[in-house]
Amino acid sequence: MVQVPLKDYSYANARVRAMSARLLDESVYRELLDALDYNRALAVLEETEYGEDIEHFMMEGARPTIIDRAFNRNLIRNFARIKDFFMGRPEEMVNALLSRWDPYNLKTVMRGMRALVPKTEIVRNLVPIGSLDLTVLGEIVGQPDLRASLDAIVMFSPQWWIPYGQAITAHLAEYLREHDLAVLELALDKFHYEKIDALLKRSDANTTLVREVVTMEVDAINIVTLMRICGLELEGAKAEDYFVPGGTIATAKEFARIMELGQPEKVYEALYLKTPYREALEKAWKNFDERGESAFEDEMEKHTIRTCLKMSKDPLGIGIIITYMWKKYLEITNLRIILRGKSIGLIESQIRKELFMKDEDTREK
Amino acid sequence: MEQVHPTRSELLKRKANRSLADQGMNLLKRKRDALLAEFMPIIDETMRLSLRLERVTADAQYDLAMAKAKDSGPKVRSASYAAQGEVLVDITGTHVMGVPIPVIRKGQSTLRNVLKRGYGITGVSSRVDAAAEKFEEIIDVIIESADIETRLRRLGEELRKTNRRVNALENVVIPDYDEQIKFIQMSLEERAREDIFRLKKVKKALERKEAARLERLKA
Repeated sequence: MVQVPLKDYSYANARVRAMSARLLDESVYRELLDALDYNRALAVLEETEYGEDIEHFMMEGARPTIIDRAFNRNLIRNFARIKDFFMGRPEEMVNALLSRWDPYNLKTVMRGMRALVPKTEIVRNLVPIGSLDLTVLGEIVGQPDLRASLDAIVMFSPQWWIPYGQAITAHLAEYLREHDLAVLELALDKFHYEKIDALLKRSDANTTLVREVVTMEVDAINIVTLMRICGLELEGAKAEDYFVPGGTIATAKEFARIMELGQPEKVYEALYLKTPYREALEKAWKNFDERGESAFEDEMEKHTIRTCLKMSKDPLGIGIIITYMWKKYLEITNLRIILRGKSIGLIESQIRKELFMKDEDTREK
Repeated sequence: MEQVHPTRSELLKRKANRSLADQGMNLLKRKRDALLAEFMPIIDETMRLSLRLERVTADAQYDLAMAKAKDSGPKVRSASYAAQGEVLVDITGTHVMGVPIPVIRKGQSTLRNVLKRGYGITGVSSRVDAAAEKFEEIIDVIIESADIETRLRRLGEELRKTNRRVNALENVVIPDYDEQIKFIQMSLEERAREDIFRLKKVKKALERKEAARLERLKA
């Protein structure tokens, strides 16, 4: 049966609820954690929804790298299904949520082309669930070199619906002068979030929810960036260059002012006062000495997931979809942690320590 | 034992050689002691570095596995494509107790700050950074290990060579000389005893002859 794309969330939400029911339950996690080794954990996973994706890559082996690709396939498959439900404004909202993969895909192509990585290998690492599909990305990868790929992004952006041509054009000269891909990468990230910010100007409930998610994403990026670069010599660059717009830290100047505080402790205090993530920041700061900036990355990610998991209050709103997306993301992240952990011989307690919010999630269920 | 002519000149020559071998052995023993004095701290340093390398490698593997788990393998690989730069190593030379030893030093620290890894930090997680930092530390320790292990190997070879020479002098050359000297001395003494015996015989014969002549004169 052909699904006709809809302009409201009622039908899609029912389908997404059905998809949510297929998420793994606690007994599977228990079995996975109890599995004696990697192969037995994999055997448990083969009996679940992921069996089809694992089987798809079975000919290439069963190493964690291959299984990562199976997880990617599963993620793409499920999220692409959600995209197909909609048209009009709901489609824009879903795309806004998924388009964070677009800059990632373009960056992967640029990095791979510059490092002369084989094209098939570059394509393997793409996650084409944003607005750029595999056909467009394949065309960009198919160019003879990086310069040709960049030109293709710029020249064919209207025809290929690549919204990032502008960002590349604005910074191409600087890249050609400095030969530093980070210039283009930062430009892509800034442009992406500016674009999303412009799309989320409305004040209806669904747009507000999506804006909340994107704001948390941007805040996580800015907070972790500040913790990573505070006290570093920027060597010609400005703090503002690393600012991503669209979050609680409203302007690049404000970002630079926090960055100028220099000491991680002072930056933390400023962020604690300035942003609404006190609980997450407190937890991260407690682990900062032991884990460094990764503690902030983990806690901000957990905060985002925790918030998104609570967004499904309106049965006719986009919250159901947001919750599903983050549940799925959380599930795949936790599965990767379990399998990677098993593959390097970690014991259950060590794996549990690394899992994302497993206990909280269980309580919620 | 080689062919030895039991003559006085040969004895003097052998004694001179033996004394030279003795001096050589003492010198080599002193060299061996000096090499050992250099060698022992290097062993400690090598052990320390190899333990550090083991620890850093384990940490790096763990961080990489966690980065791949939390950020996904493709994201980590994508970030790795951006990594660029070279590891510069200065190689010069020095001498320890006459042994030529290469000195390997980092041209510049392999530890790069987060803005120098080739990717835009807003799109790559700090977990990837943590893993990258650990692998940079591995390179650092490997360069240090290369220097100390080359030193250890060269000094070890020299120590083995010196030890072999000392043993050869102590157990083969000097005992050989001692045996030869003893043989020549015994041969010379034997010859001297034969000479004395012969002289006595001649003297007795002469005395007998003289006695017979005197007898004849009396008659």
